[in-house]
Amino acid sequence: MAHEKLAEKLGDYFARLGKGRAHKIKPDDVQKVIVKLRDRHAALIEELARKPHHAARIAAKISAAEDLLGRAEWLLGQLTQDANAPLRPLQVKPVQDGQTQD
Amino acid sequence: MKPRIPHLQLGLTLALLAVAMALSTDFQRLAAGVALFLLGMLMLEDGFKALSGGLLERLLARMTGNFGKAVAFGAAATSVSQSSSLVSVISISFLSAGLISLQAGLGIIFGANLGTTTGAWLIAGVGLKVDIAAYALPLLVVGVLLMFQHQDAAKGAGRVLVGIGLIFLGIAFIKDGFDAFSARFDLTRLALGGIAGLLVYTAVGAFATVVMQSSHATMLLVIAALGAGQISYDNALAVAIGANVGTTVTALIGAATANFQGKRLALGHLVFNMATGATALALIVPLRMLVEGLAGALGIAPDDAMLRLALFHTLFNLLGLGLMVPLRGRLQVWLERRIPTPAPRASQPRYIAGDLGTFPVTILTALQQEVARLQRHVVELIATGLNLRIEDLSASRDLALTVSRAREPIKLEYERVYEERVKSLHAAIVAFCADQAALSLPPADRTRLHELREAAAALVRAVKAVKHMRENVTRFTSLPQGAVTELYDQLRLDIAQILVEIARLDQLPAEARSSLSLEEERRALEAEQQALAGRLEGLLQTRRITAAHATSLLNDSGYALEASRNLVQAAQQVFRPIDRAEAEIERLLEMEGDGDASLDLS
Repeated sequence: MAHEKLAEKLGDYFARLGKGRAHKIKPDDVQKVIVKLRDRHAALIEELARKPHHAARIAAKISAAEDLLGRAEWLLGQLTQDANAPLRPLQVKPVQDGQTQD
Repeated sequence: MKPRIPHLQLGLTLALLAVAMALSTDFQRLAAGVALFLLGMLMLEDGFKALSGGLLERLLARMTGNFGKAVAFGAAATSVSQSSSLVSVISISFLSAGLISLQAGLGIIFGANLGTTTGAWLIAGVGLKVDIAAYALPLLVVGVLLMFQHQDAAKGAGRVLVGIGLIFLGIAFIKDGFDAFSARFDLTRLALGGIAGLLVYTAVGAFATVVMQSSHATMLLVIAALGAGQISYDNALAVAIGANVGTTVTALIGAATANFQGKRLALGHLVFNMATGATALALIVPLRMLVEGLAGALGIAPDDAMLRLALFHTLFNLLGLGLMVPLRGRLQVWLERRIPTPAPRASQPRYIAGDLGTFPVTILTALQQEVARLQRHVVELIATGLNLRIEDLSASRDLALTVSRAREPIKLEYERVYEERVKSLHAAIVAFCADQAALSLPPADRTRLHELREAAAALVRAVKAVKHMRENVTRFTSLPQGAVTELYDQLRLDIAQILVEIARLDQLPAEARSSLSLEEERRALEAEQQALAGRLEGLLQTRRITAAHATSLLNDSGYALEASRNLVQAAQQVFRPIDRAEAEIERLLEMEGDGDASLDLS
């Protein structure tokens, strides 16, 4: 399942939140992080064009940046879906083989 | 308010109180009133701490840089909480943690002095003129009920109500005590005129404030005594001046365990109040005339000496503010000279030393700064351990070239430097995290505490991993030895790239950095490790590297990976955003140990 570990972490987070051991996240907070990640991704693409001799290293970084963006967008989707009941652990929809939620 | 009377003084006070209370039931009533009032002040202070839920601290954190805002904050916070001690203690903690400047701290203290004068207005205007005890009882009932609730906010509100109720009850007791006293004794026979009267009653006011640890209590007593005709107006003015001077002793005692910045602020408070008191004494005649003039304009009745005293209290504190605000720059310079910044010692904690109070923001900020300092020591030690210099790496445009040119071994007693600059600091961080004050953090903030402690431990693991590879690094990179040197340079480069990224993030303002950029470093590191393994295998197959060298390289690449992973983990934890929600998001998005990310870099 895509983002299986992330979904587990999110479940743990909601459990901690319910016990008052975590700070509440709102969709707007995730949006802010997404904006930062997009900026960073764009900067890496530019760096790749400027430094072709470091292509392998920068490509690995770009791949990480894209994964982070995917995870952040998935997280935003989950929080937006359940925005009215943010204290309940989220139910992650099962995903068919080869299918992603992004 | 910190009741810390030395033992001898306490014994003497208790003995005197016991004799006086045995001789006079009126005095008993008066003393009980003071006791209830002081207990009420303590409850009010505790209640505000719990009720504000860090609001006071968050507001205070924004009061940096602007002296005017700091004065306004000090005045407003003290007027609302009626506790200049609470505001002073928070300011000293914030200053000790480096969250506010000395200038802002002085502004808050100056403002708190002005804010505390509102207490005299409340006592003189309301407290002694209406049947305040009638309001005390319902407040106590509701307050106690709330104190038994589970929620912290309800408990805090309960303490505030009980505190106000006890203060009201204390005021009523003191008023009754003085009224009964007046029927039998005439304390005005002890009145002293002229300069002697001014000096003696100023000393009385200062002494009473030191003993009761509260200028509010002194003001209450003197206003009540004035209302009951038990003290002359002129002597009451002197007591009010003395109360201002006496309150600095509380701040000085409070700063005894603070660091050098806290001590500077306490000394600044003493200078401010002494200068204000001396000026008020010198200008007592014109000030008295000004009070008379203004009292008429404000509609204060000609026979209302209590409100006149409150007006005098406000005016001379305003005078002090007007006198000291233009001199604040010079005062700061003098304080910094008088209490110099201690010479930095790498082995000693800098930010978590001294009393930081029990405020989550100060505890966590100081800890973050100390772990960031440990991280700087570790970055420097690891770079040097690899025969590299962090300043050369940070300035380099081509890191691979810089690393490959660094052939000269750097003399370094790795173990000794580790003991001095890393281990001792790590021990101080661990001890701080185990401290009672840190353990009293709210559950949501304890996660951050554990995270920073874990970051410090990861930094130590990174240092130890590099220690294991240092000998081979020196052996194979001091002189070019073909493929094995290239591979060891690659190991050095992998770690150097992370060191440079950490140093870069360390230079950025906290709000501009994201710990997620280290996820990219982690991914790049994994890719480079895979490439290195493939290259090593190829070199072995073509016999361009011996089996012995290959074994050393395999071991040391393991150490390099361990060092790098620990450095990345620590940096992610140290550089978390200040915004708590953003920090939670970054924790969720991190990919360490996740199978989610698609790693196809072969």
